[in-house]
Amino acid sequence: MHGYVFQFRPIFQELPFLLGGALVTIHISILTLFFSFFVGTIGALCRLSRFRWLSTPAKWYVEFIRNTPLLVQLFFIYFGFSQINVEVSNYTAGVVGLVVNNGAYLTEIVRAGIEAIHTGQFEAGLSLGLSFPQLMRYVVFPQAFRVIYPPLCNQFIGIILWSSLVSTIAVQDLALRGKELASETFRSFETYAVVTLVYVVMTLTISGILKVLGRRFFRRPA
Amino acid sequence: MRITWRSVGVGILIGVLALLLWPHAAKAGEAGPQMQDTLNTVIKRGEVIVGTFDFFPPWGFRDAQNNIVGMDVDIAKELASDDVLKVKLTLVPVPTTQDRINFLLSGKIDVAISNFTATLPRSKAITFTDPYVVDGVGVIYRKGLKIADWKDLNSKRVAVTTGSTGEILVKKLAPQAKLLQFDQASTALLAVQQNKADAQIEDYTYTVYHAGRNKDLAYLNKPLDFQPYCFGVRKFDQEWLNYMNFFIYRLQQSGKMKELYKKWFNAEPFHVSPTW
Amino acid sequence: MPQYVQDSLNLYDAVLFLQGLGNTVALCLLGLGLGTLIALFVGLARASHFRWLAWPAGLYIEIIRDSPLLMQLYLVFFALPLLGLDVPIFAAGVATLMVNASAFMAEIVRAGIQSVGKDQWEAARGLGMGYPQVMRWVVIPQAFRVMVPPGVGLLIGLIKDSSVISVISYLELTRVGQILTEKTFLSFQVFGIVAALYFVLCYPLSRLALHVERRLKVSG
Repeated sequence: MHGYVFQFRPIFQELPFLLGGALVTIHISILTLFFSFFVGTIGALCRLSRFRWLSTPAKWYVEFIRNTPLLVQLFFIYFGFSQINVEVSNYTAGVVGLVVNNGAYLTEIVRAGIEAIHTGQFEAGLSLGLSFPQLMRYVVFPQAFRVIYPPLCNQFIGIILWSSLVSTIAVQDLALRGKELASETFRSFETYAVVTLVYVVMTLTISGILKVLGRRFFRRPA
Repeated sequence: MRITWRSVGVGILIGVLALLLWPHAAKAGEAGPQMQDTLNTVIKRGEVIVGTFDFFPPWGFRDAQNNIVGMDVDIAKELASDDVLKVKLTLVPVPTTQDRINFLLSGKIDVAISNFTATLPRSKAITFTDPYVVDGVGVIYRKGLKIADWKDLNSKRVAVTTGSTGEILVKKLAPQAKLLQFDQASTALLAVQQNKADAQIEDYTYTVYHAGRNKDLAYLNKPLDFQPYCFGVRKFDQEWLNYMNFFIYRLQQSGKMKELYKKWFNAEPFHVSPTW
Repeated sequence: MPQYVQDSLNLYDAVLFLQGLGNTVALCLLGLGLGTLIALFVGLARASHFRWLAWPAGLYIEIIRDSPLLMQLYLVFFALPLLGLDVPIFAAGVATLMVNASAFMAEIVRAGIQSVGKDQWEAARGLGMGYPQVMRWVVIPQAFRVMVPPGVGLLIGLIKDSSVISVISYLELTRVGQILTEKTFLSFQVFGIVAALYFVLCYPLSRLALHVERRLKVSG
């Protein structure tokens, strides 16, 4: 329609520009994974706690985040908070938003991992005189981690893909670089096709590596 | 996810293949231009689809009842009116600066009337009519900051809209400025209001309007560059382009343009061209 | 210069919120419905024993699941018209969600089909049923029970993902939030209301999914 001719060369000439954005995407994703794992662990422990004042807020946190869109959460943190005089930079808002969002999902993942451990383990550990932190560190987590690992890898892939939304709050990631390139060259289709390809290659490569790592570290005992 | 070595390999193979093969598509030469006839399409359809902004007062924005109103909207209404095309008017709010071109190219709108500055790079993708208004580029900044000229923007945080003329100007005139790019002018303005940015570069009339509305902001009384606003239409659409140009000429000649400008700006419009 | 200032939300804005809500629901129901139809074929292909069916289906699923929804949307919205297909805004939104949902649903379909034990197949075949009959009377009814809870989960996910459709200026709920913030600059209240409305849509669905899952588990 409208006599359009596809020209990919101008896009491929700017590939380093796009890949610079890809580095930012990976950087943000790793940061997010790291912090949201902590948030998730704390959340899971709260969720499983006997104390209602811990478990109920944790439950509401998870429910609220899981039932609202990431884009709205990002806008709310970046723009909404400033209205009540809490200053956030766009990069901070992006990472915080992603961490808060993924923390909720990780809470459920870690919780499932901990619950998967046979209660006998807890009792055995306690009867051996282990304190709660020691119990967690030596008995629970090593076993829970095996269960947590696959969904965790899945979640990491999700983080990489959904981090593209921070482009709406001016973070210079792959998606925003794509947008800039598309406005400069006026070639939307070619630009976004290439950007999508970069995302796919990134995702497939990282998930492949994670899978291989998983096989090496989680060899079942004979 | 069932990821195996094989699919990792496939993924990387696809990536590498695509990188190697696609550059060759450029050598396919230009396809013959296909003449378009939007004018007859519009008349036959009985409807003209105009793209405007809905977040850019006073050119195109939402009023209290959430209807899209503004200077550009009034011009669009003139275009669809009984004296001119005599068709139904459909307004499509275009979300970002870049989308005016994208929507035109993909046939979503017939014409873009949205304080669209004509520039030479943009003219490579679409066609501009003659100008109907002339504006400039301005700076709106937080009161208290010493900004007297464009070079003062170096080392400040500057909010711009992706794909706008302001973005290009800042990169040229104040390369040391810390750029924050947003999809829409209103989001960039919000950033300045919330002290996430020190200044915003936008069209001059926009900066005057918003500085007047907000006591924390001031505008630079030195509009830079001249920004002719034109309608945007697709390439190879000669009849439609001619019709638009004549429409604009009539708008100026009959005094309607002056009347609308006074309504929205309370001022006289700048002279568009010596003969008008 | 005449000024237009709106400092608080009014009744018309409330109407706009409801409009956005309705549009979001329409978008997601259509997207999921059509996506499921496609997913039935893709999922069956993926679960099939024929390499030439399973492999392309797998590739389709993998590429869609491994690329951002935002990019898929841009490609559908800006690319298809260049290939001759004129796609209005609502259709582009539905098409993107449909394609996206079909990939995830295909995996659910595949898991559902594969959850039906081999002995069921053999028994049915032993009774003289052909492939279509086995699917219709034995496999799909049982697979369906396995598919419903994750299917509802997918609908919830789709409702949230539809917020991305705001970038092509379709008047769904998130876009309403952007419009009203642009007008009033009251981002905290506006996005708070938007988040609450999404919650009102999704939370009951997630409770429903849990309820259905429990009931299905009990009946074994």
